[in-house]
Amino acid sequence: MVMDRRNFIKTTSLVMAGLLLPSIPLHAKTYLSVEQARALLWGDMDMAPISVELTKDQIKKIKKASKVRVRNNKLQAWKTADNGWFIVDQVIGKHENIDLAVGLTSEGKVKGVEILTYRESYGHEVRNPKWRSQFLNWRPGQPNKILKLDREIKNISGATLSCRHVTDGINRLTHTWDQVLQHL
Amino acid sequence: MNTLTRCKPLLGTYVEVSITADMDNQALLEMSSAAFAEIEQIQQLMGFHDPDTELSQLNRKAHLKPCHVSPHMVKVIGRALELSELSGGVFDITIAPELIKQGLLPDLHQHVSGSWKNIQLEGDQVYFNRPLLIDLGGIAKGYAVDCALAVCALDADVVINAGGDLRMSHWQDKQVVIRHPELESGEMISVDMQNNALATSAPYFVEDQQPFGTTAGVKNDMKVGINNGQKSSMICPFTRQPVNYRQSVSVFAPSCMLADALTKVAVLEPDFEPVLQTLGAEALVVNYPDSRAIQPDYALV
Repeated sequence: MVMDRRNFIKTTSLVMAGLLLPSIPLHAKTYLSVEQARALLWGDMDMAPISVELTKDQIKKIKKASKVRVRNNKLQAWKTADNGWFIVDQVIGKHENIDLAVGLTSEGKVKGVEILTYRESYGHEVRNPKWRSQFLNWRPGQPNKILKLDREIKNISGATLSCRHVTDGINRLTHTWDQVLQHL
Repeated sequence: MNTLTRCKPLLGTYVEVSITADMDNQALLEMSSAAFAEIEQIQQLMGFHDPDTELSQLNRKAHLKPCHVSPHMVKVIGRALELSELSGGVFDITIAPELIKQGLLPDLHQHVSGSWKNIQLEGDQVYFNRPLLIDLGGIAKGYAVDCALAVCALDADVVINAGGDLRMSHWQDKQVVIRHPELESGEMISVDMQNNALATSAPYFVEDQQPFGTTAGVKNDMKVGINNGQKSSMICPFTRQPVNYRQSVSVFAPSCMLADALTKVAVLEPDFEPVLQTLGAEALVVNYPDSRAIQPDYALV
């Protein structure tokens, strides 16, 4: 009886875990660290972290001006000695989740953008053995390794992915500068 | 050996530069910055979206009088015209008006239409003998990758990947991964790299999958169906209609510009073999598992 109950709990939690993991990371890549991006964008210029918390009104204005949803009211930002900004932000698209670093000049112009991490995830994964099997001998005598889901995948070719969400994110940050940061 | 990999949003996609070399971090950063600067320069010359690019100026003025252009523009337009000639017009950089109609390019100009035959390139001058619009979206991305690689040190192991159009300095013994045409499935397959460069064309990530086109396809080819109101960046230059194809087409070629451009030829021209062979390229075609393919499920040509 006890065992049955344990099994039940085990099974249920496994099912629950499945339900609670809405997305499967397909491929994740890490590029520069925050520190590397900072050095690349600002060299050794002094900067101080500034705590930025957007008010509801500010969020509304930024959204209106940039036409981009503001998901987070807190901003990870540093102000440089020459009134520029270094911002570490996150962009969430339909399939991707991206950390990026953006440098803004004292006039609010984009000084540079670096992607720090790129993660792709999918709500559901359809295994497709038939398609995969087509590659098994895609050229006679040249067997190919079949990749399983691999987080270390290096070079992918496919239909071009649009970077629109990142462009939107940068747009949102320049409007955040316009509405808020330039007055800080 | 030291490796650095950076990624920036450029050319409308994510451009990744990865360098492995016997140098310190600072030197790697500088080399990658030089590579990105090349890509930005090509974007500033050949972008369609920005009214200030050299390309936009051509679209506004080149039908009025011959315009001087940069050496980069000479190379890309020259190569594009060569490919149009070789492919009997299958590759054509004048399909921009059709992309505008679909909302895939911004409407910056008057709607006009011509073909590659109306473009004249002499020395460093470009002239359109009738008003037309060119878009280098099918070739400039690959060219930008080539330019970026050209500024990197010869002994460095460099990989540049512009959202799937990629080139490697040391491609032998390397593997690449090709995505399933239906992105949602998340399938990835690795194959051995066959040449300096690789580019893949696959249908836009369409949310609602439509059945394979029922109208007769281009040149009666089953693999290309006339689009049923769906958006597609692949335009048939003969019918001027967007085509909805159900394949992933990857082209290995000596340069990324060629690989990029030849994917369009391989999608639109059933008999693409001779053109690709002439240029030292080969294609890997993968049909959708459920497509009513009359070709073998895969083919390396």
